[in-house]
Amino acid sequence: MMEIIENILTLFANSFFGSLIVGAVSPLLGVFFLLRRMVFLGIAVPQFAAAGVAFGFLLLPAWNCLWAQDDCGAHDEGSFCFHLFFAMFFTYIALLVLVYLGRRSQGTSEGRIAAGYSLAAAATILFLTASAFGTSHIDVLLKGEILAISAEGLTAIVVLYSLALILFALFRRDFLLIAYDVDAAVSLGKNPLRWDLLLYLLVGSAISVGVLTVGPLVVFGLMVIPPLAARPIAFNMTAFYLFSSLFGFLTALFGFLAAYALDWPLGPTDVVLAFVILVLVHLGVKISGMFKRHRV
Amino acid sequence: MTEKSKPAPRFSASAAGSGLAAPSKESALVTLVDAAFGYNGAPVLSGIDLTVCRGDFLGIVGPNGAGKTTLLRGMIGLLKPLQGKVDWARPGGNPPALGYVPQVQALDQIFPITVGEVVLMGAYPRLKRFRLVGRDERSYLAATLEQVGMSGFDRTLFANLSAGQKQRILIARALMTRPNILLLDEPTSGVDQAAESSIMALLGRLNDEGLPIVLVCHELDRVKATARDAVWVHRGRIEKGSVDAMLSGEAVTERLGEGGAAS
Repeated sequence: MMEIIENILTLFANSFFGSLIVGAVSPLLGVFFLLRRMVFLGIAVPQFAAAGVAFGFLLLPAWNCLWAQDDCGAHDEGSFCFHLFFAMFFTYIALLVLVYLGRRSQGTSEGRIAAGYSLAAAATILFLTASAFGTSHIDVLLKGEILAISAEGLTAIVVLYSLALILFALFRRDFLLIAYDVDAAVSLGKNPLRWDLLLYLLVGSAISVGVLTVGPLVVFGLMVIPPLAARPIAFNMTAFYLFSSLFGFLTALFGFLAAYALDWPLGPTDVVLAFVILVLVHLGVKISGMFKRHRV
Repeated sequence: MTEKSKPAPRFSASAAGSGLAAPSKESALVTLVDAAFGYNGAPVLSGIDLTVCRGDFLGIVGPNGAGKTTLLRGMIGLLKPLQGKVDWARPGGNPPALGYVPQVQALDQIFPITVGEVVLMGAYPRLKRFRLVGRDERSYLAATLEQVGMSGFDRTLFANLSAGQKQRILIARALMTRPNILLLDEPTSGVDQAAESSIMALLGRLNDEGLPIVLVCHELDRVKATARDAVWVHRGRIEKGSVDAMLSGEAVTERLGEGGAAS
């Protein structure tokens, strides 16, 4: 085990620490998607970020010609910041539209999110197909390439996820009140729209950088599955936050070790491991309930 | 105040236009002037003139779908008036502290939230960010739980309580705001007879202690036994007066005869 960890720290230190941070923080943000019964926003929003990255690939030749002073098309990857800009732009626009429609229209939020996801998935493929370089990156974009997190990718993860964590700690009570009882929040003088926008800004930023580094699949998996596992054993809200974060962290840690040892792709390994934890927790709760009933 | 005794109000009676004494400006907590409330621009209620004063116990009654909850939501600010205005007294320039008690059914049971955490929400405007809840607020929480007869429940999951207990906890949360007024939306909906009686007795006691109460309730008998004044919501308008005048057998029969069954 120690040998594996040493090898990982030597070869994949950025990826290892990056995935641990994403694993520990993403579930905290996912908690509110789960509690507000908007888990599908967790899959739709990363898809919008992916569409933004794909759109960036579409513009990359023009960008190279204009600013990079290269032969147009000499570089087919683009900088991290270039793609992060488009990922964030698409994510924020999508969240703003979804929040606006949620307040104005009378349809269901599931319907809006599903329609948004379909649009974003289709747009991602269309942008990549239309771009000169996109098709060569489609696999990476859809599955993520955690093992290739660069120094600037790790920096972006550390900065944005730390910011998300600090703001979450600072405003957790407001987020909880708005999620739990928006009418009571208004009666206490809170402006729900303002708090929703802040929450979505946090989530959008974290998702954007997460999609660029670990991929949409892992971001969605870590946002949703650890809180689902924590929910049945949480005895209060603080425990819910802590268990969610702990399960996400353990998933990222052991997922990395397992993927390295078994030579499996890291993203899918993380998601399957998170699901195994979810099943084990639910089984444990069932068995414990049976014992309690038997004792009674 | 119990169901049998209804002491005289400490402040002037308030239902504007009810034939009762007009409220003084100083005692008015909230005044609705020619207000209209509705959804998507379509008014459900209009021409509403109403004043609630310190010490009042006002029951809002009427048929299902008449707009009782709409009126309450309009008073609180959950609905912006389509016309007219809602003026809250601002003691010392501060915004009014509203103790709002929603219908229990409106709260999602998916939250693994404890009784203590729910009640503490009422103190959120006072809590400092990044700080844990202080000893003072903890003591106030314990006192509030005791006041509603739920001492020792602070670590119990809210979802595991009965409907009547949940309602008491929501009243405790409203009291935790240190409110100028308590506004309740159908607090006895879905609770059994015993719990209903104890909730109404609790509200009477709080009003006796000087807390003004506005109560939306479909149980006319309960309102008649506990409240002092009543607002009858019907056909987009309101009528107001003392409960004895508004909810007497003849008055109710007459209104119901005008169409629309009371709930």
